Amino acid sequence: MNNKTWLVEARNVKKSFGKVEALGGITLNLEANNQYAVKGTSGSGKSTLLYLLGGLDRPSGGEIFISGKNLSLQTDDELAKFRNQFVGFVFQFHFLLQSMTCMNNILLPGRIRGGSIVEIQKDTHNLAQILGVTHCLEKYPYQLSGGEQQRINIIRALSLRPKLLLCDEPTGNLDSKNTELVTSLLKELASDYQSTLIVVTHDNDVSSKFKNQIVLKDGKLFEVL
Amino acid sequence: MACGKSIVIASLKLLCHLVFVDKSSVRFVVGIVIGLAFSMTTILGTIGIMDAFVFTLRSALKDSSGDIMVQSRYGFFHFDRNIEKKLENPSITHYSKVIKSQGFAINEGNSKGVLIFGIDMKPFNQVTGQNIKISKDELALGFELSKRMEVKVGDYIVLGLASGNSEMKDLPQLKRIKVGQIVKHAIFQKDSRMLYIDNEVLSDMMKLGRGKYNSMVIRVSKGDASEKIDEIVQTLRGDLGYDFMVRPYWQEFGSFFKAIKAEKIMIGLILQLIVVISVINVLAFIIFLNEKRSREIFLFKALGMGQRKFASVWLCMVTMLWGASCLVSLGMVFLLKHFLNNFTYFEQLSAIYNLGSLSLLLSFSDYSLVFISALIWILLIAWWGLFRMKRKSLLEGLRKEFA
Repeated sequence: MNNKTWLVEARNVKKSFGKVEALGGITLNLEANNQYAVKGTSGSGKSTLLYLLGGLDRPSGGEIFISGKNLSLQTDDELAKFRNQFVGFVFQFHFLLQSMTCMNNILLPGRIRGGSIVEIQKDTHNLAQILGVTHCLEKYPYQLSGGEQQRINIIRALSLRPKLLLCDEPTGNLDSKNTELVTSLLKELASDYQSTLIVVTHDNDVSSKFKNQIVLKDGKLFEVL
Repeated sequence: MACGKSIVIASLKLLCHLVFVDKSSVRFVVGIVIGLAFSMTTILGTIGIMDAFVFTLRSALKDSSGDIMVQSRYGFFHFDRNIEKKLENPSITHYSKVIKSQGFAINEGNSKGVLIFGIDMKPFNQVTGQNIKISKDELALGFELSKRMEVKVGDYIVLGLASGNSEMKDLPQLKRIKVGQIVKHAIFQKDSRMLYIDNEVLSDMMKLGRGKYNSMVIRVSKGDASEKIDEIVQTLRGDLGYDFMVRPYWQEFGSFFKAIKAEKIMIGLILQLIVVISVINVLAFIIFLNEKRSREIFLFKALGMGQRKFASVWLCMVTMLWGASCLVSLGMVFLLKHFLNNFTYFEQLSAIYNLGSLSLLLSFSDYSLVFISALIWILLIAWWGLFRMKRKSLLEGLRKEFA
């Protein structure tokens, strides 16, 4: 175990919202280029853990190291840069801006990073072809089905080739057919892009597709399968 | 590695997307720009009118009185070599001796008290810059006076005046004389009171005898060298002594100028309130963006737009709004100038202020002061908006906006 390269190291991570303790001291190590499912019942703290790993929030206690870098010591601007260049997010509710075309939504992280977006556009067309949403790129999100929106969301998350792909209930709003499709696509693409995939889900069908499963219960690590 | 400039430009484009994404936001922005521009134009217009008023009044006084006025305290004096020597100052370019008196102009039942200047045309014109051309049997009178007396060039009026301090029993002296010229001074008071006549004719009417005067007007240098004029005034006061009152041309309205200066500062400060009202519109816009576009703002942040970058882009956008307002304001000032210069209504208004015409006179410092004070207000509000945004947790915002 000690010879393994840990991409993510969480040490006694705690998070409270006022008097409510969402995470009560989580310690875990996640390997680079591997794929994990985080499961648990509603309120178990799985989404909170995901957002902490993605630098969207700061823990109330403990430390998180990503590639050896302690996130707690990063400034807000450094965290923003980390999110932009290291992490790809796939959210349950897509978080697509209805006022922009899908292509512009996908290019958002690249535009925030600055510099050329030619490569991103090229990658986008390739991915769109793989995911079967080429026809959606110039459409607005509200013109697409839930499954199509989620696939656009995945393309955006992968647009900057992140080392860490974090997905919060990516299939939560999808029917069973799309759920299976999106799950397998995520696994396949994360593998192709050499990204570490962490998928938060309460759906056992989805989590069962992963070799590595982390089970949370009442804000604590219950089981690692 | 992308350079900082391209990052800011890319981020600015994103933020502009927020602002110009729908018609209501665009209308809001246009309203803010026009409102702020209007406020700044109001201040600029007020300051500009006051400055132009002072400038025009000073120029008009200078043109009608020369740079320095000398008045004998004890009636008439004989202009001799002694006085002439005292005026031999390299800074004095021209001087003219004047007989100043008061009298009445009478024409078919109309009569009006007038200030009579007995002048030596050529040196008087050299000193004052006026172009009075009358023969010995003619007089020139102010434009407003001619209107009041209902006379034009070629008509005759009767001039009534005292014949001299020592011969009061002969009052009044009356002389029918032809109107040779109508003069404009650009000062209403002067236009309605001044009357010019050859000094020998006036001297004869008053039975003064040749070479006697009671005033002098002096030209110091070209342009409005107030400090130089002050310096010569001090020198002449010393040289001519207590027998003469030596005054710069602006002294007649000296306290008035001081009052205008104080008023300009006070009005400038009070009118800042108008800018504040416009800035409240900017504040409303910032709140509007915060509320209506918070989904986009939180997403931008989640996808990696740092607080510092966001702040710089935010301030850049607000500064662009201010810049647009300044440009519109410049256009409005131009229009205001055009209206003041071309509409007769404003000419009538100007008569109330004793001037020939109203205009706007704005210096670079006036523009800078107004524009920069507006920018300070806007940046203060923008900082406050940023502070409010920073207070919201990113995660809470995302969950709230996208749930």
